[in-house]
Amino acid sequence: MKIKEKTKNINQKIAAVGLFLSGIIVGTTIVATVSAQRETDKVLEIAKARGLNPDHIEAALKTYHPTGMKDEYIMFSSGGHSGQVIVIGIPSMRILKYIAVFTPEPWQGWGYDDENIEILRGDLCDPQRAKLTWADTHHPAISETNGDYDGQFLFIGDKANSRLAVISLKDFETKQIVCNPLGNSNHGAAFVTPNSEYIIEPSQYAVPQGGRYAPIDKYAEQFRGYITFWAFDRAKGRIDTEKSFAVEVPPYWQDLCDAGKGPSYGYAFCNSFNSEMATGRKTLDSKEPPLEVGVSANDMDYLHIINWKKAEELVKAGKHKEVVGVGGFKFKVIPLDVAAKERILVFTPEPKSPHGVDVSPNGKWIVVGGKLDTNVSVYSIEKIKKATEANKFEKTDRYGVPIIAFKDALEAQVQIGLGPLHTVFDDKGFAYTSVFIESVVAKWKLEEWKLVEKLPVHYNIGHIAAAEGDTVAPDGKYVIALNKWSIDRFSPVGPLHPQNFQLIDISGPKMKLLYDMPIPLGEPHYAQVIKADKLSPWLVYPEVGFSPAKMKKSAHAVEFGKEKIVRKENKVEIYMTAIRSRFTPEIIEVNQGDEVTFYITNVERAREATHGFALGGYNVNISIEPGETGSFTIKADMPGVFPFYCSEFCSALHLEMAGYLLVKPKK
Amino acid sequence: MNTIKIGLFFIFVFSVIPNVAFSDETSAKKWVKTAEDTMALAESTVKELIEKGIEEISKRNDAVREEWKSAGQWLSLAKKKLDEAKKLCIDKKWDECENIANESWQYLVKAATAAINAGRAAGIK
Repeated sequence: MKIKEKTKNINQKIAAVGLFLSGIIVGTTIVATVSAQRETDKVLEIAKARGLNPDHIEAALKTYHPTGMKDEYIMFSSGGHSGQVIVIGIPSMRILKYIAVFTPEPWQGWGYDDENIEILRGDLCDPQRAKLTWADTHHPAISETNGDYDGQFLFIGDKANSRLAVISLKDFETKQIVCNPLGNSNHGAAFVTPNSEYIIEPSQYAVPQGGRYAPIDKYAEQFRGYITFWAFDRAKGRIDTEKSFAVEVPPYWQDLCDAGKGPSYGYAFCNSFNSEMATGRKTLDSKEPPLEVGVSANDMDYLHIINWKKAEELVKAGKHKEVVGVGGFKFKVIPLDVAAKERILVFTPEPKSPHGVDVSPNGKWIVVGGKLDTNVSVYSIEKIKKATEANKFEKTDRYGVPIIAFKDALEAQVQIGLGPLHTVFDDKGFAYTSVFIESVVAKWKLEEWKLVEKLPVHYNIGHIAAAEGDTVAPDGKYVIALNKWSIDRFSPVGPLHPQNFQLIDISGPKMKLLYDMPIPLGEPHYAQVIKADKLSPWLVYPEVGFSPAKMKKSAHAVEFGKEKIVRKENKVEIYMTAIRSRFTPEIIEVNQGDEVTFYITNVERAREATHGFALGGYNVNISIEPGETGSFTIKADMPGVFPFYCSEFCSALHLEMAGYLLVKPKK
Repeated sequence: MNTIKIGLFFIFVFSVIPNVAFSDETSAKKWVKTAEDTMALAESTVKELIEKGIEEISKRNDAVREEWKSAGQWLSLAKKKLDEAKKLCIDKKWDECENIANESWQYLVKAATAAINAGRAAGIK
């Protein structure tokens, strides 16, 4: 009995506890549900008030980054006419940095510091190009190892002046600029070979080689293009101009290139769009067609297939000539007749006024978009190699370059719409092509050669970029439509509108537009997107007194407490330190007419403790990042008292970080 | 689906581009025909956009109005050049006829771009 009662009591207690706990759970659930419902209602209220639909909310959830959350990808976009590179986080589309490249940029002190003024003057640059203050950056290329982005370097070309820059991704600063002595025009630079052995720079508007004069009616005879292979010395982080060479090509206005990989390793593919060799109206009342008509008369232009491995061997064997180029600089060139005879250069037809040429991740397919065509044309490297090895050519062009018949090189054509330009790839075997005139992104399937879907974009899409999209192993996830026009997407800011980068989610079966990003700088062209964890930039320079230009300790570094002023006749050298919140020395007295060089070492080791050095009246503002030694030189030709100050808000006593340069007038 | 239709429209238009390997006369006549065919299709697209109410929308939307106006201007220029090309062909000035017909076609491409932008800004393309 007692046992039964005890059992009953225990059961009652268990039941009571169970009921109590159930109550708590139910209660909590109700409270949570009510609370969640309230939150949902709040979200819906906001959405309703802002006119947002569920797609918009999903897009916001996929792109919003609360404070401190970092992006999964980093995009390097050309900065167009700004001459710079824009660094953007993906998917948040937040601008992280403008990298100063070809154009002076005061915040980074670019163009004001002695060492970077020297970089801006460039290697192999004639006096005209050595003093340029702008550029038209087009195609950034991240360095590759085994066809994969390695996150070490970035290269970018200047279309207007045929220059190429090397940027270190250790400090996101430009290390070298080279000028192409063969002419003053490129378009596509830069494209890298799979181990960054070379950076490919195709010329665009043909000119007489070496920048000399020739009359326009000698166009076919004397004008030429060239595909330049800039040798990259990875250990030095610099282009080796001595080991670089170019392949001379006909004056067909070459455009973009891409390097082969896998089965197409050792080849480069470049397109052209003026096989007509149109030269425009020679006089104002001329009956010749304008360039836009003359250049688009032919149905087919020529895809240039260049065997750069063989070209490299020929150069080593001395089968090149030394062309004296612009500024008197010599450059190694494989002549057109040698290139044709040795089968370094082979053509196959490509429709019609083509623009983009892109090699698929597996290296088997070369995709060409014809601006005035409705197809992308896909060529097979296997077929190209087979035809070349069998000497199976349908004819040669007027310069003797062998031409593989279209049908013998082509694998497939995919009708995607009017104006295909550029193609990128994902991890699932799909290709994404920008279609300019229709303003859409066309998604199509490789090897099935079928159009899958089109997504309207806003407006006039030019390039397109994908996550790790130019590598042997693209990630999928995102593509970015780099639209030339924004028309009505943003609040008006005058007649010069921003461009519009549109982020597209490609992770699902359907493409989804996620985000519009106004680009208020230059007119960007191409971009590349790298996984953020592949980058390992310095947060401060590795040691105090570091020279970013030399990438080692500066000979002019000075330690804290050992500052000095050295006078040698009318040359004065100031060895200064900067630390929160003082410059040492603070008062500097020189004579009118002295040449004064400041070497300023930021002795800070804390992240972001950057100091600027601004000197009014003398056009000086340099950036001295933690550990860096910066320098500038002035001719003290204006007598007076010139305050200098730190132009970075570095501490509570930032305003006190100042001093005086006193220039004593001549007696 | 609408986008695919537009694509098919242009696929047809641009698949009739002549092959310039023909003689001057044949090539010139083919360019004129291409421009004529493209013009007819451009006009039918314009009609379609009008039926979908673009003119009404353009009255209250600046962006649509500007793009629509631009499409009309390019179309008008294309018509003018096409008439000029036809006269040149009648006079057997084949080279000039071909070039002007090609020029007319270039203007039609620009008209197409502007019309698509207008339609997209209006939300009907």
